[in-house]
Amino acid sequence: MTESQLIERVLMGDPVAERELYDRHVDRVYRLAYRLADGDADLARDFTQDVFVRAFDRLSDFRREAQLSTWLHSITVSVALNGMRKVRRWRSRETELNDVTSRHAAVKPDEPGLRSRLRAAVGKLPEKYRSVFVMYDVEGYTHEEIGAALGMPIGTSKARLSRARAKLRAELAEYAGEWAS
Amino acid sequence: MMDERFGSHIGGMVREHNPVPETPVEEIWGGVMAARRYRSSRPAVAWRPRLVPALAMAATLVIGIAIGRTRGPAVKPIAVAPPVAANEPAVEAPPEFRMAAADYLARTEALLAAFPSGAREGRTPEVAAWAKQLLLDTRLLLDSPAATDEQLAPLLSDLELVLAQIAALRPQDQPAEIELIKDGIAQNRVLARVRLAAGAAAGANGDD
Repeated sequence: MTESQLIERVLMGDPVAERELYDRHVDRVYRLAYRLADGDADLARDFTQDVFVRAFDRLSDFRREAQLSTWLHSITVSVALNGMRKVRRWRSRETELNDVTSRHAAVKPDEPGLRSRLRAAVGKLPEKYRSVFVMYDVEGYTHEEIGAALGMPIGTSKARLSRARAKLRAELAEYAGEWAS
Repeated sequence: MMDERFGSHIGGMVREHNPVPETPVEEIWGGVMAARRYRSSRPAVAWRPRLVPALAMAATLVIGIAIGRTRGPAVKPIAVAPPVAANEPAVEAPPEFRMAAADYLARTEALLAAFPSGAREGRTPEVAAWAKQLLLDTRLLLDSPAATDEQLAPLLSDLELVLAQIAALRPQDQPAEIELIKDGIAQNRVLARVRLAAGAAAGANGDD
């Protein structure tokens, strides 16, 4: 069944088609949500659920100029970034209340050096750079896909990726030897 | 070129050090369905307790209790019910109560599925109000012949505890409080049991 036929059947209220649409896209949506949720599986699950609830609610608004996957990834980025803003506010309040000296909740003390620095460096990237880095370098999206999902020109996606890499390079300078070879 | 190699290397390290776990496909699908059922059945504004259906549910229960009492001696809640012999049919609640229970379970499932994100997003007062209404329905059901149903009774008892905890949440409560409630739900498999019971109740009512 083509994507267009599937969408038509979902719009007619066919529950089998709904499940088919979900099965086709859930893995990639979950992967992206997981990366944007800083590797928190619970958050990724909640975000993915929210993405599909919204998608089914608004499927009639989907203009078929782009692929459905692009539209779903756009919703995923929006849901995950909004969700993470709330989570970060919450975590920072919790950190203040617990009087913890470390300001970066993503770093776990038992992680080996490079791994923890890597997590911290990616976590510290500004949102607009992090989402492009995660999509391009980690999850293998193209600049065209990123541009369509984030609603920006391809050139902006490239520029943001370059800035993200520059910041990571600076953050991880002491480990430069580990990837220079 | 160097930039591309660096990005590709760092991306590879992120994937290697933090692999994506297997997608919890069924769990997410269950949540999507519960949230959509809730959305499609609520009147208008998000997170508003469903007063009208709740009142209808309470009325159904009160009428049901009255019918139950006119039929014969009052049925004791069976928290201490003896085990059923293997060849005896399981005790089932009368149809009017099973119908009320099915509606109640669907609404409870929606609340439990939406609770973690709702609480996290600062909608504690709405979640607590919703739980308070369901807690009232739980207690009505526990006092009704629905509590003679051997599958439903222990679930209602667990739900009473969980809903009381959620209903007592205040906006200033810490995330740790919410985590404790989530742990309680997970440890007793409350949501999975509610889904199972809701599915069974919907099926049974459909068959009647």
